[in-house]
Amino acid sequence: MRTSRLERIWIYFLVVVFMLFFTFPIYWAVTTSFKSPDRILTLPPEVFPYSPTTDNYNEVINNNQMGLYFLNSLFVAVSTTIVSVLIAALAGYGFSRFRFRGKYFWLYLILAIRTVPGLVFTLPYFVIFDKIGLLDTLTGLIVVYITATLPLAVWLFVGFYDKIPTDIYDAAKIDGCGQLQMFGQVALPLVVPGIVVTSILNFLAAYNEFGTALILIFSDNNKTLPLAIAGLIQLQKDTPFGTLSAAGTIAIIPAFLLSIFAQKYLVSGFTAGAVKG
Amino acid sequence: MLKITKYQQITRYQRRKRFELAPYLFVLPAILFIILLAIIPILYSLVISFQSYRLGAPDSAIRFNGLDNYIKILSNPTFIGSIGWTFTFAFISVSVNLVLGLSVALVLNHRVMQKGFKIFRSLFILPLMLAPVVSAIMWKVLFAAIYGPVNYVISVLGLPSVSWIGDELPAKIAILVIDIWSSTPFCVLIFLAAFQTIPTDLIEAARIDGASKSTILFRINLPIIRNFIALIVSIRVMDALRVFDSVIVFTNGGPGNSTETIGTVIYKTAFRYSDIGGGSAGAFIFFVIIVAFTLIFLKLSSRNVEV
Repeated sequence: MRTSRLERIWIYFLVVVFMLFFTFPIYWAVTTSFKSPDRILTLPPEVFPYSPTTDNYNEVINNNQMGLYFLNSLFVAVSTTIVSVLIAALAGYGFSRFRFRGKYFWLYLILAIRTVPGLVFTLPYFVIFDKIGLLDTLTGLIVVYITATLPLAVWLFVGFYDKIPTDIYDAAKIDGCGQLQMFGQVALPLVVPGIVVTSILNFLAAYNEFGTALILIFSDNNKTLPLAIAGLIQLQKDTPFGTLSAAGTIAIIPAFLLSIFAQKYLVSGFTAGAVKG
Repeated sequence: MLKITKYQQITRYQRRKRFELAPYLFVLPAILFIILLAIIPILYSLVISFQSYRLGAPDSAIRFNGLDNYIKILSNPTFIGSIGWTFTFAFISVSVNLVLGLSVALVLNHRVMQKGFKIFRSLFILPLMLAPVVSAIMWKVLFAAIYGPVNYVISVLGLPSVSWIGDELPAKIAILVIDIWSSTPFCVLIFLAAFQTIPTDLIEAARIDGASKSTILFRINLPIIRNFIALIVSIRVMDALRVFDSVIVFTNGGPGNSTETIGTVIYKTAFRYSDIGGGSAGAFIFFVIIVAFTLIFLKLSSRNVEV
């Protein structure tokens, strides 16, 4: 098949247009974060920061505790990921390998819970957590995030385990494998790519979450990054573009690293996540 | 995935007559979380929605008030208005998602693009991974009133600058743009995955028979991947109906109440106006709307598949 010159130019043109649309906002935020206030408020807007400064970063880290919020977010996201993946890896194995009473009831109940809007949960969480002392704590937030990420994680794991041929289990059984060994030494090593995919999805979900945190967290030291960034806007009358951009740039570091180092897993993760959901 | 033939079922039952504890132990932690932190809160939320539960009021002031909460929130014009806007928003956003996502996927999938494809794909994925809050502040900088690049381009074109936050229509457009920007990459990924399932010999055969490119796209490719399209629509509509973060950050519902969505109205009812009972009633109405939509969609898409 030949591709005509005109068609080739047309395709390149479209790619450039799409690229601009999808990456320019990120480029603009990152470059704005290195501009001084008078450079931000200038016409025409500076496409490239000619006299870069780290003032905005000093401002958000020293005066707005953005470092602490970044650590809070990482702590919440990592804890959520570890616990949720562990529980889902166990449950997925149980659902995939065994037949038992109520199996499909629970599987479909877990699936159905995904369609419930978050606000149906968050209002009672607020009331219940207030009574048991979990309100305004990172622990409370982590527990909520674990529950919220479990349904998709369990379904993903069921899919990963289902791909393991039963012959492998049968062979291990003949070799005298116990139930726990079967899980830990036979099944789990075979779903390692699945563990990576599920971990990335869970991490991003917890790291990016805003609505629940907005309701359950209110003291300054417990804020997560999205909460703190949203707070920057509401506190001040003039939108502080420089500090907002700096905070936003700090927030996208993990996503940026993941997109470089784990691209393969990301693509299969988002695709599998959609198909399973 | 979970389908088991009748024959397998019978033999499996015969093999496992004695009760086994192991399966229950594996699924127990997950089920405990689901019962304690999903089922019980849903039921509790239902109870609260029939109570006069106000934030900060003593427990003794809480009493059963029948359908009052439901009547009150359904006669709140802001809530009714938000339902209309949320559905309009979802409809426009998902329509653009489909057209733009398909276009980007077609371009990325084009023969000319195969070499540099991988680098492009990782760049296209970035918006998908960002927190909605972060996407919204990035666009807030772009849509800035005087010194923002969007208004600069508009002024270069000789048009009057637009108040993207202060005027109703521009604010709605801006929120749509933010949503489309952050969700289209997901649709691109699904379309790219869908293209992999199209048998190439079929396309070759059509090409030899003299079918044009648009005929191949609309008569062969799109019908083959219709299940993927249904998937994108169902996931994206659910997401779009729940839009919350970007609205709170970008306009906080303004100007007036024009960009309030179902989610932001429920949130404000419960926490700005301290009416937890009313908020729960709103959340349940929202839940019913989503369930109804899911059922209608499942019915429509399963009928399509049979044709």
